[in-house]
Amino acid sequence: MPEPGRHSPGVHRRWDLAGLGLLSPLLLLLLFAFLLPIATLIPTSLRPYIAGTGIGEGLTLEHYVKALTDGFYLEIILRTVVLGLVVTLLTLVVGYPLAYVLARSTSRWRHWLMLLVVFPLLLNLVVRTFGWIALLARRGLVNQWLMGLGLTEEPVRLMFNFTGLLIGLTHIFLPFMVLVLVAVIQNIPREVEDAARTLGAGFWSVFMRVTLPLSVPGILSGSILVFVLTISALVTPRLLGGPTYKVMSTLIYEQFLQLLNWPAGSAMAVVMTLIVLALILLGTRLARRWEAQA
Amino acid sequence: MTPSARRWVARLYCALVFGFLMLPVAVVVLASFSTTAYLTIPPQGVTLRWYGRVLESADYLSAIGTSLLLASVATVCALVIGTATSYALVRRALPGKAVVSAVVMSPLIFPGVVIGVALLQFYAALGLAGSFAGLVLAHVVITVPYVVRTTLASLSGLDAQLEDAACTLGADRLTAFWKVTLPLMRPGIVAGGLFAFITSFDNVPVSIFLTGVGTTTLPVKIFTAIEFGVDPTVAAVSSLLILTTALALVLAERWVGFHRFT
Amino acid sequence: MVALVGPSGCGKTTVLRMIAGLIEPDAGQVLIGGTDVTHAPAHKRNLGLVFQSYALFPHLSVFENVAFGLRRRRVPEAEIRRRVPQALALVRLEGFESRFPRQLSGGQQQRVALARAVVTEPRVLLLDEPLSNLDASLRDAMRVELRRLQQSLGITTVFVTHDQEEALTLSDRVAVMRAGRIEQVGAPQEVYERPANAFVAGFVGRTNLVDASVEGADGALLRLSGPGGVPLRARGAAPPGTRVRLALRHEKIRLGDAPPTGAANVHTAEVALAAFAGAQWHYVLRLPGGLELQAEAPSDAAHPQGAQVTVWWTAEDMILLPAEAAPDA
Repeated sequence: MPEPGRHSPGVHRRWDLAGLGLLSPLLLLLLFAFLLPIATLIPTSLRPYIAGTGIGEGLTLEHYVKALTDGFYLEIILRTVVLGLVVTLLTLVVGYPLAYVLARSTSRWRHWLMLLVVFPLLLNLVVRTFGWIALLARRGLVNQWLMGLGLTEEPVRLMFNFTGLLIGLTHIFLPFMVLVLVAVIQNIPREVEDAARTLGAGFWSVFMRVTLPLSVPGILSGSILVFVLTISALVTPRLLGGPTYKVMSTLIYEQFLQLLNWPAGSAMAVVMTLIVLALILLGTRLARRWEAQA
Repeated sequence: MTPSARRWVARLYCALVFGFLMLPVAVVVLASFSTTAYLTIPPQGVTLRWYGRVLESADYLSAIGTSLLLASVATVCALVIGTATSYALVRRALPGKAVVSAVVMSPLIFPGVVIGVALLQFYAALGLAGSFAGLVLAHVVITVPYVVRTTLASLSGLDAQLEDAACTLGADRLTAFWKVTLPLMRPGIVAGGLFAFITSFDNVPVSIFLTGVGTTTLPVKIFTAIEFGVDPTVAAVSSLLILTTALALVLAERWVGFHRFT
Repeated sequence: MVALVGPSGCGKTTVLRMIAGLIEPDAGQVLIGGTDVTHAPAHKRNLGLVFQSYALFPHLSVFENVAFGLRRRRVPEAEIRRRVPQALALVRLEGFESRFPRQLSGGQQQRVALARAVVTEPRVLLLDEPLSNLDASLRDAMRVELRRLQQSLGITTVFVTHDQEEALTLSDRVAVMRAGRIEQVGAPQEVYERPANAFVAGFVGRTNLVDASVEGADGALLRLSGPGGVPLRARGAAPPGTRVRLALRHEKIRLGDAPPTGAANVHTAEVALAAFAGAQWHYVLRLPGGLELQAEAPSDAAHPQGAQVTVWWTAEDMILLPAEAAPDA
């Protein structure tokens, strides 16, 4: 193993420049096409909006006040958060067993099965949601089956409500959760589970006392990921929820492109960003504390 | 429960979950052949007419063209910028790498809708609203993290001494990179390029706010089409997308072992 | 052929990389053939470096690996086609041109790395731990190969190793390094028989280090008193009363045979430990007074554990080391 070379300060500085030079395109891009625009949402959100005329002069906090006190908006925010929580829980419960099987599998089809999980992720969101419309609509397949089997008289309302969004979003984000969990479970050395087994633990004991606790960091990061993605979702809620059953993203969409109320939309976007950032910070702190305990 | 019974339960469960994952995809493909506006099982008739409509529609073709062009340009830019970034992160001594990494990856978790509206009002202030260049910039921002992630993985697995060996044999740093490191990074570059292309091609939340009158992308077009009502033409376009994605995935797996990057 | 030898972490690989131009020194110069190349980048120095891990390009065939340096120098294609097989023949790998590194064994990979380094006819050949990665049997064969190759090509070669035996057998000159400094440079025999200090004495060869105090001189010989009062005689000069360190190589201690008359150091020792090591026996001998010395002797005469045996060595073999701070053993 060669000893690490000590670079003279002169050489070090020269290399730093090359390194910085390589990084600068991306950093500049992110600065001007990402960070700066998001920052300018704040000034926009502080402007008043006069219906019929457009964005007015001066500064006002009315949009934020409305977002956080008006019942209509609060309901949407609450609905979005609850949706996030339930979807996260569902993807976790449904996805963990699958992830466990895939992670521990030794079959030669494993690679292709993993790709089968990834495949929906690469498919267009619109396409996948469209498939759910064909299934969940009043005249969709599910209702046809239910009525054909005589289980219901009337078509069940599976779209434009919480149920529809729940099914659709769980489907969309399940692969994300599975992929994160597979990576985490794979990192738990098989030997640790084997050691538990030689010490007399049966299958469920090993799982509850060894595998599950060790996969908590992964469960945490996967949950944060799915939660953030769920509350940010636009396409699926818009198509499965319709224009009347709104979530935060579709509200922003409506305000920007239909109501042309950019300040209110920006305020909502800022609120959403803050929620996301808070979540990620919370998640990293929790993960760090869990790792410190372990 | 015996181990073998457990195995069968596991297999059944996996089959059910995979079934759930593939269900809408299958439905879309089936619906594209149906004669009725709504898919019925058993289908009332089989036809290829919706595919014909897609391939004849000037609107759809132009949207496909726009998406292809946009995705290609964005992917190439993302590959260049992303590879340079991961090279700097892996091979160069720089302060605060963790922070830089976090910043580089942040577009991945940021709500697309926020990025979209932020750019919309930013571009409007600058007079770039609805421009193709603005759209490209936005797409590069959201695709670069994928490229950085896969090329970083590829690069980390390479022996740093290979470039040194090339230098002692007479190659300057740039030639060493071009002839030794880059070819060995190919799996990461291909995987990153695939992720980037698909992310750009499929994107709606950012694109929908930035498309102008002449620059509609395919997914935005499908999105607005669905909002107006269900039409098997949409199913046909969607099936074509499904087919090409599946093909690309198989090719990527065969060529560079794509599953390693998932 | 110069060997740079020293314990891990002493900086020998760093020196090699500085010669190659992969690291720039903080101070001082690197001169090759009288020319100052300190600030010249690696690719302009025309050297050959064989890395410890061989660093073969996995995506190129053996032919392309070897041809790499020639292509960078814009050597015409016809000449490349002539010189590459020549280089491969030199390392006895004819016919391997179209194989890929992953298809080669460790020894074969090293030979390709060698061919790649010498085909460009460099001024200096640098080898980083050339034999460390090989198993014992291959190592001996490779040692002979390397020497033969170097002599037939006539290239100045610097190689780095932590194995002092390797350094002694392969090189014309040895430089012993410790913690970034060169402790001694010289021909192998000189470094072995006349170590400059306790560190070199301890590092090169297998040595007993004995502390003693000077009692007086007997003509050209020094009379000393070792641990437990055991009398010792060494060649050298030091004022009476000083405390000195003496080095005695394991194989210089003779056992059992009748010592020649006038032998300087003769003692009766008890065999505390005896271990069979193939070509030799390794002993730990306890002298009267408690001093324990390690010795090696040919296997033809075995002395069992617990036996009393006559041991002797000459005054020349008892090396007086210059005074210095106690080295880390």
